[in-house]
Amino acid sequence: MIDISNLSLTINGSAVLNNISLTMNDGEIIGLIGKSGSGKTLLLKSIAGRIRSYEGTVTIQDAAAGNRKGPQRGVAYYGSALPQNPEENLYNFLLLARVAHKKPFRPFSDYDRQVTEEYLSALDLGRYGGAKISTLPDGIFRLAMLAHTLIGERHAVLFDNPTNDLDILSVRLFRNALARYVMNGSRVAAVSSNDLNFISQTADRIVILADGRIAETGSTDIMTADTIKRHFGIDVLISRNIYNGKPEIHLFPDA
Amino acid sequence: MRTARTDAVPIAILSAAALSTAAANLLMNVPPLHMALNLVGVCAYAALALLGDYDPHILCDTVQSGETAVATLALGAAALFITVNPYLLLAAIFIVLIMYQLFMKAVLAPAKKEIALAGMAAQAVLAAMAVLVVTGGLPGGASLAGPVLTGFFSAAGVHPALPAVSLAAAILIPLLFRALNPEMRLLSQGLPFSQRPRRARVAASAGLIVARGLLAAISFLFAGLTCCIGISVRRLHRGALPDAAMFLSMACLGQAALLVGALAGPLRAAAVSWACSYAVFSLYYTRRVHVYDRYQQS
Repeated sequence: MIDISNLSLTINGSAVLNNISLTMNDGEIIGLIGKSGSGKTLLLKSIAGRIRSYEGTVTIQDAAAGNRKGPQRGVAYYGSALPQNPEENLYNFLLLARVAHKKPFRPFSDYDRQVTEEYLSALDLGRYGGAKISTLPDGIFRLAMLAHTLIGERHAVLFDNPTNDLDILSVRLFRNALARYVMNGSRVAAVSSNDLNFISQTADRIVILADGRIAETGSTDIMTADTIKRHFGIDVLISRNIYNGKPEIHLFPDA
Repeated sequence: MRTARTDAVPIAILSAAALSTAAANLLMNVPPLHMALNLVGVCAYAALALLGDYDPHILCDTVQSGETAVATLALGAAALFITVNPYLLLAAIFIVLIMYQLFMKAVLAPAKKEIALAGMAAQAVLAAMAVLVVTGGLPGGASLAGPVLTGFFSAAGVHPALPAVSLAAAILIPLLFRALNPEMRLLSQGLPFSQRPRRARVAASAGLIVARGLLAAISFLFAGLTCCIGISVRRLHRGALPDAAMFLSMACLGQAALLVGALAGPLRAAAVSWACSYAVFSLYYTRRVHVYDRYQQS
């Protein structure tokens, strides 16, 4: 569980996050949406400890965010960072996500390799396992970075715009992998995205940010035409997915 | 394995070439001790190239990065004005190379080709100093230039303990890093991917810099710039045994440089080695496969 209490962040004199309080329960996928600049990335980075200059508290499994110990209690953050060593092949790079689970001078366990191979298979990356990461196409590369985040099996995974560069099949594979990640009820995931349909189909609960504040929060049912008009300034048509009943957002053609 | 079989031919050719040049050196009365000491430098450079797996900053050999030029200037100045004690010289070059590495890591941005530019600047300074020395500005300097560039210790001869300890360092340092292979490889992917506390990251980075500085100093003092092709050859090699190909290529060039030195003098040997280093680097640089923009750097 992640508990955020009265989190505020000021950058260069302007308040970019204002008094945010939010609880993310184990087994939940939280979807963060909001206009660009609303504070989604900053909130995720604050939870992940990438930004530490905030006021308020972030506790993860009852431990302060800056005082996490052990991979199960930690947080993995997926952003736009590139791995610096492009000579590494994909399988080895993904296996490195398990380093926190092993002791120095000891080899990876069979379980580490099994987890890596499971995600390679689940995300349909198996045929790229031997390729250098510098040679991966953009979509496959992004999927590999998502796999790296999941393979670490941290208590919480935070994804900032995970669907960028992904094709429709990859989006589906990632969504399934994420659902499986939190399925056992001991992990939590938060996903921020500008892809409202992805969020509405993936998240269990949606948090809408506006000007660094939580504007609305609730189940996917809050994704109404009025809500989207209010926060994004655009008219949309909402229908329901015929398989799961969740909202689907459609843009009107230009008048 | 198919790839291992395809490696057999180039490795056999490189082995034959290294043995042939070594035999030619013996025929040309190159002292066997000189050849053996050059090999110590080759071993140290091979170890240094292996550490490149853990340091994405290292995009080129020590000639292109300017490390050999800086070491040459430092060694020339130390040997001419301060001391010829081999241990003090090794310590001096070691410190200078660590400082230069810190400069590369803290100041330069490899993605903007700044390492290559800094390397060229260092070599330009070296060339200017060499012109001054050769034109008679510094008595004794001209006779020192050849040995400095082709392996100061190999030319001068040193107490047997120094090559023995150096060889041990060249073997043990990669083994130590090999034992920490996953941790170091993850560290090489950058801070966002690190899973260790800050002090562990700092310790690992410092260890890498010290190890690299030591190996570069040993290699330079024993082999000069006669083997500075290892990093490029290793990355250029597409087969299953890049480490073997790298070691044999360096041994081959080292022995060939000694042969050129015996036939035409150490300065020409250094010039040939320098040219070979740039030739192999150019091959590697032009054949790199970076299909996508995210790694279109340097």
